[in-house]
Amino acid sequence: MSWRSGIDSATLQQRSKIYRTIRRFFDDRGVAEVTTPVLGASGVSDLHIQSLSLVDDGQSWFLQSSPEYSMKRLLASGSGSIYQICPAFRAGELGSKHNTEFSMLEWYRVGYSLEELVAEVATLLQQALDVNQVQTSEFRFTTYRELFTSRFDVNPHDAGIETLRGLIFAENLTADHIDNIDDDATRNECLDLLFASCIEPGLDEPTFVLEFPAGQAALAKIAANDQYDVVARRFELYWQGMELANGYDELTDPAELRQRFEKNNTQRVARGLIEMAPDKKLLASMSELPDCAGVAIGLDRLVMLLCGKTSIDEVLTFSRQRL
Amino acid sequence: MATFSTNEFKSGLKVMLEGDPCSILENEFVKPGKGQAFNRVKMRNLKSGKVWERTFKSGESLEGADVMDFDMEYVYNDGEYWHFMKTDGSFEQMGADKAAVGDCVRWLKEQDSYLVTLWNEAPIAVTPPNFVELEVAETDPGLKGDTAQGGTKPATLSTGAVVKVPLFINIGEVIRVDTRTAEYQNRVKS
Repeated sequence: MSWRSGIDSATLQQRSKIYRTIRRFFDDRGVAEVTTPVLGASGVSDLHIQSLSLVDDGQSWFLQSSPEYSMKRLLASGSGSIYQICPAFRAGELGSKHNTEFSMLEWYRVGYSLEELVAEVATLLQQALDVNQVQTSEFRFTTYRELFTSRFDVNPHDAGIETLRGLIFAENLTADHIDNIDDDATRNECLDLLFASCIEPGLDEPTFVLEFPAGQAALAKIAANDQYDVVARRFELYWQGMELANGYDELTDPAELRQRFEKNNTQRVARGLIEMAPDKKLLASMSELPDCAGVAIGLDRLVMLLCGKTSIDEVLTFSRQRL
Repeated sequence: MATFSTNEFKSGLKVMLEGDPCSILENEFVKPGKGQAFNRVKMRNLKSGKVWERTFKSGESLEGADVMDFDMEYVYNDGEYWHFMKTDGSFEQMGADKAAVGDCVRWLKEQDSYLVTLWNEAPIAVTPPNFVELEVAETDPGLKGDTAQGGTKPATLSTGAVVKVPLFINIGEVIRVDTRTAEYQNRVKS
């Protein structure tokens, strides 16, 4: 039995330097560092994120899967732009790029457009690259539709389930495991399988992917783009075939938020998952949430890429397998 | 037979897929942050030897395969089956067909030990040891004194395998061969 840490001392030093770079970056821009509770009264209702829960005083509590709800209530309380480096927990996620407990860098910019936030993520990434003397090819900016169409010649925003199942079959991916429930979630499961299997592994250079399918909006606004597709105002950053960041033009409409919670729960029930009661305090705060854009970066993965490590175990003090 | 969930798919685990027993080689957990989790699994079909790549929804399970490896001694060939005997003291014998013996046929020497893979107690694969010692049955005459580096010539071994050997090797000599590459290693003093 090994009691030793998975991170070597050089990587540990470099990780510490990356944290300093991030803190200096936000300090220079007047963005305040905050700490919100890791323990919450509600878990997220996202169909594909399962919260870890525990019991105290006869009540269930949830370990946060991201600090999003607390940070939004803080923004609605008038905090102004904020950032946080914190632990996040997701049940059942374990692999060379996943650990049940991981570190997240999440920040919100009041009054920023999504495009301004994308530019800020690119600036931070460039600084981190420079400080760590890592060379990459130029950053690429594209859309989900552009990537999907050039690979499959199908518009992901209007393709039906049968078309997507046809692509999955043609790619020799087994589709039997996709729930046979003909709804929006099934469509997204098909898109996820195709994107994660056939597109994501090829995104080697740092790639910002904008305009996600509307069904994958989570807590982002939904709007029509220039090509009249209805899309999520959401972006993701990929690098070396790995998902690194996820950002939104944040939804601020309480009625719409309530509807999305309800839809999530309908889909959860259809799949035999436990229902998640909507976070009442988040709902109540929405009317005072300022227009803002927010993004979360998987910090352990950023460290992996900057340190040239291929397994998350090599950048964590004690990954789950060492507990 | 027990069933195994994707998170138990460790390298070497034997499971059933599409009616064939398979051995897990690699299992990668893939999950978009907000999306469906799945596992990209590589496995070897133990009957055909082919590597299959499949995606499974995380949490899905497969039935375990009743696959066991035994050290067995090759006894004889009856024209249709190659017969092996357990070396655990039971002296139990089993016949393996052509499909199960496969490529190993060219290394089979009576009284030598081989790894026989049984599925539901019937042989489906035979694996030779990494190195075997076999007699040269046929080759061009050796060149005396030529023990230095130089050319090679084909030699047919007692089992029918053909390997390249140095020029100085003669009929009747025993040589050591790496079965993974079918390469000559050295001459065995007898």
